[in-house]
Amino acid sequence: MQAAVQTQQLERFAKKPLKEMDDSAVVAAYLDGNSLAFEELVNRYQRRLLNFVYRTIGDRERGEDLVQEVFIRVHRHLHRFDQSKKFSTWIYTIASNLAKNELRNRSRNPLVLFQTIKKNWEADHRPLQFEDRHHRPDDLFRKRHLKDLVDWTVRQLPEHHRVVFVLREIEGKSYEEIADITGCNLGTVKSRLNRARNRFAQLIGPMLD
Amino acid sequence: MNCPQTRELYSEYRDGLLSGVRRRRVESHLGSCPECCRFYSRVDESLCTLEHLADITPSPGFRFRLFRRLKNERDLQAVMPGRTKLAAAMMVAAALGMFLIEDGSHTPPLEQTPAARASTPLPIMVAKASYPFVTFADLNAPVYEIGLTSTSSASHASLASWARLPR
Repeated sequence: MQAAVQTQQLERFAKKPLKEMDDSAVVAAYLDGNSLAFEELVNRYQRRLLNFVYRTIGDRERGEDLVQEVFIRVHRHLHRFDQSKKFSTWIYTIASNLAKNELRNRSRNPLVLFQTIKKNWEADHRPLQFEDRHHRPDDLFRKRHLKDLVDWTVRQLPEHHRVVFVLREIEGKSYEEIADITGCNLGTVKSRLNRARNRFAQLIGPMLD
Repeated sequence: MNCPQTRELYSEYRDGLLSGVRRRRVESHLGSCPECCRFYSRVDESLCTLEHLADITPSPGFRFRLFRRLKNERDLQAVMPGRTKLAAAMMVAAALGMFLIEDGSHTPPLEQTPAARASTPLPIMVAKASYPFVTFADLNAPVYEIGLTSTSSASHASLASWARLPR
């Protein structure tokens, strides 16, 4: 009996820390009863998902709500997740579907759309809060202006192009992963990405001159 | 390769997914078409600005709110199994009850006497040469047969009697 307990303890020490495991091992650890494993998944994906959802829907506060909803759904259905598939594709699919639903609901409810626009306008007109003493003020202004310009331009892309554009250009997903996440075929992904890139260039190009 | 074809393939070319003949064709077109070359240089320059896009980080209360929701979810799941079974049992009982009520209200078919059956006319199917579908005729109306105009009253009566044959 004591030998069995000691063997288990040795095995626990021999196991890699969660941070060094890949996603599938972390998922397996969670399903085996390691509750810290879910926190590790949250640590890995919270920031990336927030950026993806925020760039897709344009609302940071609502983006946080949706990302929380993603993790709730992952927690609810992880026992049914097919562990032979990529976890990142699955979690991004959930996030993409929630973002698309949010955009669809917004287009049907003008009051929600107005409130979002008003909130984003107020956020854009907030003054700089931190002073960076290491750079020249005009450099800082130019950087901030460019950052805002790029942000604004991404938001101008049509919704179905924007999702593909963000997944490729910002999240670095492959064409196949984007096809799985969005539920489109590969040809559609290529076509939408092409159009999104061309449209992005058409919008931002004149402003860079 | 022309400009529209290059436009279709540019994304794959840019991402290094084209090989062999197609890649060379795109390169050749970009080398020979100043307009496409200028446009795609602008696309590349524009996409480079994305590096200025700053990542946003979750707000300070994000994790606290998330784990509180997860805790509520776990507490709910601990209570739910009992409730789920009760709900399932109620649904089965309701379905069974509806089945029994439906079965009880179903009246068996009455024994039909030849006279009773005869009073219920069967529909006559009618085909017209110029009309591709079969329709159902009114027994009291003139019947049109293929290739014929309205029938005589005798043949109409025989058709009507055919419709009244006992089952």
